[in-house]
Amino acid sequence: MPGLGRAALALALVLLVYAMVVGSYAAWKGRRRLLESAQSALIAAAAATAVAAAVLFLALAFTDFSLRYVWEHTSRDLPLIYRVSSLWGGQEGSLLLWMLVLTITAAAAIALNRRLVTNVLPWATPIFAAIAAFFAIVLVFVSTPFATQAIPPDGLGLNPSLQNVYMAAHPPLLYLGYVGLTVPFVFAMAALVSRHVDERWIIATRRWTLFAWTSLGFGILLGAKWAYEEVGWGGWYAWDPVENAALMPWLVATAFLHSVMIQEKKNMLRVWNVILISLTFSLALFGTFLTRSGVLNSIHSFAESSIGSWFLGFIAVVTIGSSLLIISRLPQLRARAKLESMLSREAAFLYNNLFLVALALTVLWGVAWPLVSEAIRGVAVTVGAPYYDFFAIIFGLPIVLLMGIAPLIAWRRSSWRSLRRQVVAPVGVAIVAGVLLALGGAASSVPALVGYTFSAFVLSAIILEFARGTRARHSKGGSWPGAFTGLVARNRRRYGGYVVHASIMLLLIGAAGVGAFSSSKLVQLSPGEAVAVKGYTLTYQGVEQGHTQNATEVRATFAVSRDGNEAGTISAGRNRYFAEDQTSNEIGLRTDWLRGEDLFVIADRFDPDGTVFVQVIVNPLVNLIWLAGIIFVLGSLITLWPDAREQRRIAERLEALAAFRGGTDPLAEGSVAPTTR
Amino acid sequence: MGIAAIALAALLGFVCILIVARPFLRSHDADDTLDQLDAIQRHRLELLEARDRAITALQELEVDHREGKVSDADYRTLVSQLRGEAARAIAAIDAARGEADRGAIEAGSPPSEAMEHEPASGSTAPVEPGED
Repeated sequence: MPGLGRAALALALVLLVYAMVVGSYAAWKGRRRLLESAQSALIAAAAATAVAAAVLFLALAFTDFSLRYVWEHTSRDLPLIYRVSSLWGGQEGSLLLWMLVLTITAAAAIALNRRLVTNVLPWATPIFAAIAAFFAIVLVFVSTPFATQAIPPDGLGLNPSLQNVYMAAHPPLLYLGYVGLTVPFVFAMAALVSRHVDERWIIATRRWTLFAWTSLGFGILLGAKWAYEEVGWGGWYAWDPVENAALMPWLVATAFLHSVMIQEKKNMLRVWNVILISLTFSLALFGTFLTRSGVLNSIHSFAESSIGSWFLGFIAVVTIGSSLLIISRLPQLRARAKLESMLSREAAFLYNNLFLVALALTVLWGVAWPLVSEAIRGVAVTVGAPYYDFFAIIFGLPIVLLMGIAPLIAWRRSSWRSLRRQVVAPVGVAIVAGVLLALGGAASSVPALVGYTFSAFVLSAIILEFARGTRARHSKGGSWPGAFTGLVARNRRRYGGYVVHASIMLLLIGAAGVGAFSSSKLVQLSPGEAVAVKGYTLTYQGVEQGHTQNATEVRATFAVSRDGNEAGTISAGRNRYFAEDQTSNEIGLRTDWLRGEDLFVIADRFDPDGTVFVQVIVNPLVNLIWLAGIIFVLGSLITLWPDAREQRRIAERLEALAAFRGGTDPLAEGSVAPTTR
Repeated sequence: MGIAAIALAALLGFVCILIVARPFLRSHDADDTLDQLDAIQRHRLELLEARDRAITALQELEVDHREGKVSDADYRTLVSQLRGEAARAIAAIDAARGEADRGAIEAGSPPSEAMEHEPASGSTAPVEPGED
């Protein structure tokens, strides 16, 4: 039913324009019923978008090739999971998913924040609607997923590299991240428009920001896992512009999550926070632009792209509009408090902010420079991994160091003497770990050794914080486990944050392991011949052929032994996909969980005489990267979990406010005077 | 576009119109103004927030001092500064409450309920180890 899909999208566009225009008028004039109608239009737009998405979803599931999008991205042999996941496999479907998540998120964010940010909320509705309307315009007029055609016998299929379970989950998580970051941006802009620039918009959107940041972070890691297994070069992150597209907003959002704590506690950094969230949202849009406009292939394909100029225009409107708004509200945004000491936790957060933003801007320059160069000079240049690696070390190591130091410094003011006393134990652990690792051979890579030493410092500082807090609670009575869980439950934000920090350290250890200590050998083997790499011996047994639902498989099988002990077999080879008429490398992977290392085998050339060209890689500690992902989500969940005490505190504050006027709830319907302007 | 698609699209449009019109259909309340805090209420809320912020900061200071992150000298300076901030916020709340009471009496309404000089319950809870 492509007609229903088109009609639903057109209806969503009309509803969003209504929500934008009527919502703006209602917020300006303080008209309650009009605002409620605009908010209802936002909900109705979400429903209409859901209908459009459902139409496309069903068309993909049942391979309705009368839709051009379905023909371009599926085939009859394609397994159901990939037929469904091709909803986000192409440009039009991705944009529809963006719009669906955005309209649902907008409706939910407005419904859930009615009491906390009453003065800001009216302006959030039209701003949400304006952003969603942009996507609706693109989907209705420029790049529709419901274009029809004469029904062909079969589809073109899905790019083989996208036929991977991680790719089924990676894009939706990124979109959840990108779209989730719209919530703090919209509330920040609404706070600026309404001139209510206190920290309430931050409190109202904190969990949305955390959720979006977690989704984006986990999505990036799933993308890395996909690249590791599917792209098959033995690494996990290549500083590819598409990967960087998601990393940039994540880095700035990380800075934002830290700096908002200073605004909440000290009412400082108000200008900085609105700049950070505007930059985060602009980078999220830029990420979508990079992956969807074709600009990464070449400037020419961007010029031919149907949506590239639309996106560029929208990014310009968002960036210029938010900048002008921030400048116009500078008098209200100026902080009343000052940083009391450069040696305080808030100062440490500020330094971490500067390094994070510097790293994000460096990555942005690395992504943008080839585009600028090609557009202006007509010369295609590439910015390679050495550029990114250099700045990742230059800015990354201070960030790591600050992750260890900040928890040991007091809020407001600390002294060098106190700090020295606090860091003695973690520094001692780090030095011992560094010396032991150097003696064990890790000194062959100085950056890795420094990374490990810094990681030991941070992890011991985190353990010390947990131990100190647990011991203090235990001293008041109760069991040790009870003291530990009580400690985390009483302050989820702080201790959840420490768990996230620990996950970043695991990632660093894993990344340093792969980057500095992996071993590789590229050989040509005949059946019966063997290759040895770092304790593993692989003996080539021969070639096997098979087929799946939509491809034929060729696999070279190797008997594996480790330090002389048999360790089973491993297979690697290639797949040939019928509908797509493409081949893909299918790597062999054997994980040693105890050591955290992988045996990684690529076999990409099979000769008729039975010989095979094979690359064998041993990646030490690589599995710590994936383990870090799980711990990252766990830490984020601890932080995200609702805090009943905070909710109670806000409710009691509102009750106290009501007590000023003889017990009337100030936010009850009809009990409040009109907005003063 | 087939008949079924047209019918479903029309149904969807009708439902959406109902959703958008609902606030006008269900509400017969004469007051059509937005439920927002006026300038006086916002000022009072800011005072309450300033009081809670100062008390939370005092609690954090206690924890940091106990864990050795703040020297005794810094602790003494900061504790007196934060107590001053909390006291000023409480005094301002008292003054605002007095004004509200006078206004209520002049208008013939009952005075405000007694406001304790206690912060919200989350803030008055005893300081727990490891709490921010």
